[in-house]
Amino acid sequence: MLRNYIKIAWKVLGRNKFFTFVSLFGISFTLAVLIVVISLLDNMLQPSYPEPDRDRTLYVNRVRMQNAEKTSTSISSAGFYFLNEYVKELKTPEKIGIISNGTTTNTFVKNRKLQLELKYTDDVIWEIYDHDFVEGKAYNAANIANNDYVAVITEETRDDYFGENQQVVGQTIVTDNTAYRVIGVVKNIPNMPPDPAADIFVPYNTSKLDLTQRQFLGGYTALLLAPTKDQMEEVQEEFQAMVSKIEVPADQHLSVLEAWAFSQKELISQLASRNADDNAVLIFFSILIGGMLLFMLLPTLNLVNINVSRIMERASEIGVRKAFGATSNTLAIQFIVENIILTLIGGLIGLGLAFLILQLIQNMNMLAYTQFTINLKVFLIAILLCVFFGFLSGVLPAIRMSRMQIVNAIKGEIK
Amino acid sequence: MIHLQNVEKVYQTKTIETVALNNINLEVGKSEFVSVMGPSGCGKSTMLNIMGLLDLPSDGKVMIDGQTFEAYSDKALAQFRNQTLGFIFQSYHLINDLSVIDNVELPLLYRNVNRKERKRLASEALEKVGLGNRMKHFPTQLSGGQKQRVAIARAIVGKPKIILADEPTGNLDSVMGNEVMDILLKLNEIDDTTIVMVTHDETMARKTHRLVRLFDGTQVN
Repeated sequence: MLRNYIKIAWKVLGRNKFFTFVSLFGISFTLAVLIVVISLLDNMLQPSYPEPDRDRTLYVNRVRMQNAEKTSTSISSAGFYFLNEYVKELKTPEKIGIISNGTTTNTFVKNRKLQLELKYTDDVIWEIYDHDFVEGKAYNAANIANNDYVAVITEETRDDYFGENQQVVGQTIVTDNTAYRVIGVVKNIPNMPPDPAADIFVPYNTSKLDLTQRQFLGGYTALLLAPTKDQMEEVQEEFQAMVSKIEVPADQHLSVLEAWAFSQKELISQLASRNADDNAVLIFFSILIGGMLLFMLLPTLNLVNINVSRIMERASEIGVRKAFGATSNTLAIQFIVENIILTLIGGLIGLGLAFLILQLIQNMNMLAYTQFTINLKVFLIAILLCVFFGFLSGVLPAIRMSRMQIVNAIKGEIK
Repeated sequence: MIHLQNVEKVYQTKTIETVALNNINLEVGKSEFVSVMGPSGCGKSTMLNIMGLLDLPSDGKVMIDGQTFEAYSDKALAQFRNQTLGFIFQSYHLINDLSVIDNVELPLLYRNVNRKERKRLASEALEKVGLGNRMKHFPTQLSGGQKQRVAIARAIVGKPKIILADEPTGNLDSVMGNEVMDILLKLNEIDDTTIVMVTHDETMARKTHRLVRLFDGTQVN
């Protein structure tokens, strides 16, 4: 039976090539865009280089301070003081690392200006991140204690600053008017959120800022590594309990402190919504799924329309099938299956298109060093989308078809 | 085999009521070959459709092979048509997207017959109508006479007790028409199939056992 459906579906596709082109174009374009979105999201959510434990890491990257009347608000990343004095004292995380936001610094190589993104970190960051070192190693607690001006740079920085594939450990790199001794070189890092990327990493205490100031707001993020995924909530609870106990000195204008330790999912949701709402994840994913459905609506309506006119073409076939024993249900299923086959073909083209789009994004360095893959999960979601899409656009015409009176259908009259 | 009792068919629109069949009483016996004649629009096809359970009468009783159908569901009706009835239409109504053999297999598809058996039965039916060599062809590659023979093969492949033919020779020249008629006569004689055939052709009608005439929806003989 299925073989017969496939045979008919194939023939129907070939019958009106323009209709088929319009349907397939709509389906494949829509699915391609959806697959790209899912793939990007998947890439952000899944552990990937250099964060193998992204799925059990919490990010303290947002602090909100308000005055007592809540008429004045300031939101930014966390201050070093807050992270170092309070967050570092948490007991439930396995590891706690600190990393600054990127700062663009200027350096000059052979009369050529080079802009490098610099991040200040502590030594624990290197234990949370798992970079591939092509040369040397990371700085450790001893380097920080000694106030060593050392740096870990990426392959790209090495190639730009020293020349391609040079051995550079031990050499000096000067940026932001500060000289650092290169201690390690890592493979290039993708700059997808939560953005672990930089061109050069240096110890936090080499910063020119006074880190001892009692500041809650600032340009730093703490990474809290929970022992297991299930214990992330526990870490968040301890974090909130700690925040609630902090007494901000009364002399500060903004004295009401709020801070959050976000999971990666919550972090991405924050990208879309500016307020640190508890429901941000729900809202974000609702908007995302709603948007996806809305995006699918137009080609679905188009396909419904095309399907209805195709049914009119096939009225006599439907009449004959009914006369020879097909029930309304069998015919409705046949039509839905045919439609799902059409969408699956569109889906395969869409998958190919998505692959090309992702390659393009990758090659254009829009998101540098990100390795996009259409993995099994994305592929399965894509197939599921196709089937859903095929079902959605086939049901209405199928119902209409199954209600046709045999006598009218055989005569080619639609009623 | 077929029993129509006081059958009426009325088509109603907002402004007009058209009586297509008026008090038809007809009995067709087992293995009988009956032809139905009458001018265009006299209700021949409507009567055939009612016999074939493709359309419902407005009033009266229809009994086929001892069954009445008031309580039948869509599924039960479809099953009954599939097992007991075969249809031949004036304009063949083959599915152009399917090959000859796939067209002939159609009734078996809805009977859960496996593929191998379907192929065997379909080629047997095609051999019977002399088209054993055209199985892989498509309807568009055949002449009118050949198409009608494929349609006959489709009608007989499930070995139905009754064949209802609506002007099966109407679109054919006399040579092809005679060929088709010979096949139907043989089916009736050899396989004991009950046949009701609507026709405009007096010569063809005379070859059957009995002739029923309709005029303005009423039986006249």
